[in-house]
Amino acid sequence: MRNPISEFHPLAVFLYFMTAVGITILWNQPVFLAMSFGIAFGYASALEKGRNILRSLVWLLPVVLLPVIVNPLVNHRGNTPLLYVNDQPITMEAILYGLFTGVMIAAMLFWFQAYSKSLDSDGFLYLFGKRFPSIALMVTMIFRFVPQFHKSLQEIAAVQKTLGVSTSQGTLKQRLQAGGMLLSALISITLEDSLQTADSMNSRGYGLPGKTRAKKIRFTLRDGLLFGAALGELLFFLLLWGMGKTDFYYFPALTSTGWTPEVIVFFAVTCIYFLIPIFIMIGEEIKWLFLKSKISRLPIPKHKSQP
Amino acid sequence: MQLALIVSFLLAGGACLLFFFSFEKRKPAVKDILPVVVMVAAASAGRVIFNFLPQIQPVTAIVIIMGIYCGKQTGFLTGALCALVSNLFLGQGPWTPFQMLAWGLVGMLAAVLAKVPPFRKTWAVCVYGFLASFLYGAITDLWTVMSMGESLSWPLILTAYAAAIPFNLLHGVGNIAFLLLLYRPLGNKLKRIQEKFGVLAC
Amino acid sequence: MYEGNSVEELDKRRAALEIGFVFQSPDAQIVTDRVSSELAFGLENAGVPPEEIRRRVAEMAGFFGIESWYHKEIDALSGGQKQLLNLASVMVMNPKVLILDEPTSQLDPVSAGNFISMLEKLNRELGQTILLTEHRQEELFPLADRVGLMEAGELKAVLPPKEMAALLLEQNAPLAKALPTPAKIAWALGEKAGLPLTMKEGRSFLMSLSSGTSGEPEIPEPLADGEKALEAKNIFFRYDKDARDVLKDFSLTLQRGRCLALLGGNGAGKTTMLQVLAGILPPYRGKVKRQTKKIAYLSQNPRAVFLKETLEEDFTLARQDANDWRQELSASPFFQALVPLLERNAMDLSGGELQKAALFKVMLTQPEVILLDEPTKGLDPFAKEELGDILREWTLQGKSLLLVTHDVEFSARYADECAFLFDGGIVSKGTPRSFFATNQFYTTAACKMSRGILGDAVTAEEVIQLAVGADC
Repeated sequence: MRNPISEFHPLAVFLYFMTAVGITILWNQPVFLAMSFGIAFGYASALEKGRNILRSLVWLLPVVLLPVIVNPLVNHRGNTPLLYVNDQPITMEAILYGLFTGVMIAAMLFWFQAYSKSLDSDGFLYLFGKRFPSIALMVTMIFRFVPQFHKSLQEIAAVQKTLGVSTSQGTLKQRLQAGGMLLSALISITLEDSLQTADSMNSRGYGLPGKTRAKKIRFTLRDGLLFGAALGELLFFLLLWGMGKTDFYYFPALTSTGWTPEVIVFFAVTCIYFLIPIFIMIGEEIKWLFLKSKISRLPIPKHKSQP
Repeated sequence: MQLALIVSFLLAGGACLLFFFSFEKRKPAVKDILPVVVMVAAASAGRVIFNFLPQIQPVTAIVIIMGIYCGKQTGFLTGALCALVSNLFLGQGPWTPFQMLAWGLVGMLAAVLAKVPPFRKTWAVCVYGFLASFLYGAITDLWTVMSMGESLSWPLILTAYAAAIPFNLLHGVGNIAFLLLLYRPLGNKLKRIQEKFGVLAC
Repeated sequence: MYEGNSVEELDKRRAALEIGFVFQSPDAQIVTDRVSSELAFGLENAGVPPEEIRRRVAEMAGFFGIESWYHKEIDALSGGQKQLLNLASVMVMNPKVLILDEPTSQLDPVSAGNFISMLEKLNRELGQTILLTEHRQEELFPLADRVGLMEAGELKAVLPPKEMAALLLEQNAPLAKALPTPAKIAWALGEKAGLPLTMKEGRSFLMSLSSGTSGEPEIPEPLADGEKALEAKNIFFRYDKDARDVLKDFSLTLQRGRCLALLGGNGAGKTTMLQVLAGILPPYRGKVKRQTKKIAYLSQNPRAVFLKETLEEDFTLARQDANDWRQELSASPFFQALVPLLERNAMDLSGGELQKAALFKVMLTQPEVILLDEPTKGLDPFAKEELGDILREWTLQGKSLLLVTHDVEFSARYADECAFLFDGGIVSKGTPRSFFATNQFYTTAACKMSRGILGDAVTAEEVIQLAVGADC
């Protein structure tokens, strides 16, 4: 599915997701965690292809289960012992705490996954490049080198295979040695070529003071709105959190400040905040449904050609 | 309340940013950045060459070699960039700053130790490579440990680290193998290229 | 000296802004991962304001016809596109002088032609000052206003191209070999002044000589079928299940002790074909019958042959017995030139030396069939001649050679057979004479010059013979 969030200014996208991750980590209330997990999972799945969702579900299981198992074994606080192992109580609170820690980790990972799909490396480098121009340039250069490396590697491996050096034949030691020789030959060639890269960079003025940036992503009103929403949400949370309104305790028994009006309002606001990408997605779908009827074009008939 | 997770996350990320900042302030020349770029790209390509061995990759070995031959700064930079770039390819996660810091420190520590000449012997480098896998593991496992929140306790930390020992051992053995294969040849190549860049005077 | 200042004194900013460089390798001089950011790189460094950068980049992209691939990643470009991009990224900086170091040596003839016509356009339409060094003289020589001759680091003479051609031919200098074919033919036929440089001039020169009498076209004798060294039958290959076929119903026979040259455009699947024949890539249909397992493959970049620090170590890796290979090295008239280079690293050799060392290492593994990909790429005319001699020696020893190349002149001189690969299959095959005489475009300069005027000449020597014969 198309991801409308990725069209916002990188700064707004970054803050949006970091706020979502931050609140998810800090507020350990079970209902909230379930909500955060549900929305993050839904969002990440909407951006992924079918098979990948299945794969991430399989990979999710241990993430959630591990704390459920480990927690009760090391943490014996809690008022409700269910059974004893080695004279140590296994408490219901510890199991629940483990379960929701697992849910928190899973929610966080899905928020990160959605973030990775929403802020591509270009956007990331744009953000990063302002303060760290050399590092950003290096990352760009690495992006350029990696595919080139793979091509040269294929070439070297093909030639060497006919000369008797191959990572697919011989004993493990021979194969390792072959791999080492291929890798160091590859590095040799690329280092040598980098001398020409250096010439080319110097001749085009690399390192002169007063460098500018050609790429400029405009910070528009809608970027401002998303950024403002993220900042407002974060401040709102920090305020409640600082005042202890969001406290939730698992030990010795599950206790909380309850559903006070502030908490209800914050919960609702957060729910809307988390759903912003989904709202935009739906909004765009409707808009295009409407636009499509206006931008109607006659279909061009195509004859079938042999593939 | 998983404050510990947020704090450790910010500390690891902050340390890397602080380092990047000092690097930018030095106004790096072409000869400072090109070898690092080549080596980081090589490390990621190396994962492909050796994919006939599961779980084994030459990244740590390359980071150590860069630290030894090119100094503290370059060592840290190579490690941090290896982590950053591979995460830009594979997707970011809470582990990104921890991996950057861990590989960075592995490279930096190698450079510090290399100041003592006997350490530059191949066997000593291999011992360091083996131990470095545990340093790397200890830092990258930090985020899983920290996410346990209130259950965070010494038994938990010990359990988590004990569970990671087999992975670290495998990583350590891989490091020894790669250092045996690559330490001398890559070192010679780096020396050669530094001389050539010196002639260019960039 | 540059505008009255010595180059050393030139301030760094001025040097970067006013002198533009384009180097040999299309790949190595690219810095970033996108066409768009590469074009902006120099201007960003120079501190040009973003709005102006965008304007200048837009203008240059239009001039170079880059719009259609402006958003592409560098990895998706062809070699020719990369080199055009390198030229454009220098030209956006609006340099007063453009210096190019063998810019077309790594390109195939079609891309090189595009690149050269772009240079011509810059020179003609913008009055751009261009300084260029190059081995590829056929197209470039006539375009120059003045040609300099360098020997051992010293500038010997600077003359207009026609006078330079005459000077070189007069002295019978080794560099004369690299001159455009029309000039060489005209000189041999007794022309002294006003040597023809372009194909057009060459044809009218020949026309004025002969009264249109065409020499008897020789019918080349077809080569007798020998022992088969390698036979590919109805090969189909693709890289991925859903990809298109790179080789389609491809069949080819390589005879023992022969040199077969395979020509074809870019993307015709030449490299893939070599790798399939070598057994590196498996065909999904069809069969390659190999009489021997000793097949060596040499890729476009001879550096891929070397794995070690010195040539000596590399040769020992190929043949354990060092005395053995040393003997072979000093006994060979071609390879003994490598003896003083044994301690060197392969990366420090010149193009010709590197190619020779690569051939020697391949020879040490005692292959019976050798597959070569673009062996003449980046070589100067002398190195090419030596390569040709080595290949000829190998066929005499009974080795079978298959070379894939864009170099029509080289194939015409050294191959026993030529074939044309198009759309994944062989479309024509024959002896160099019959092959090139029937081709319109993919043929030698001598053939283009003499077609329809003087019989079926393929090499410069043949044109001269025929012309002398027609004169009598």
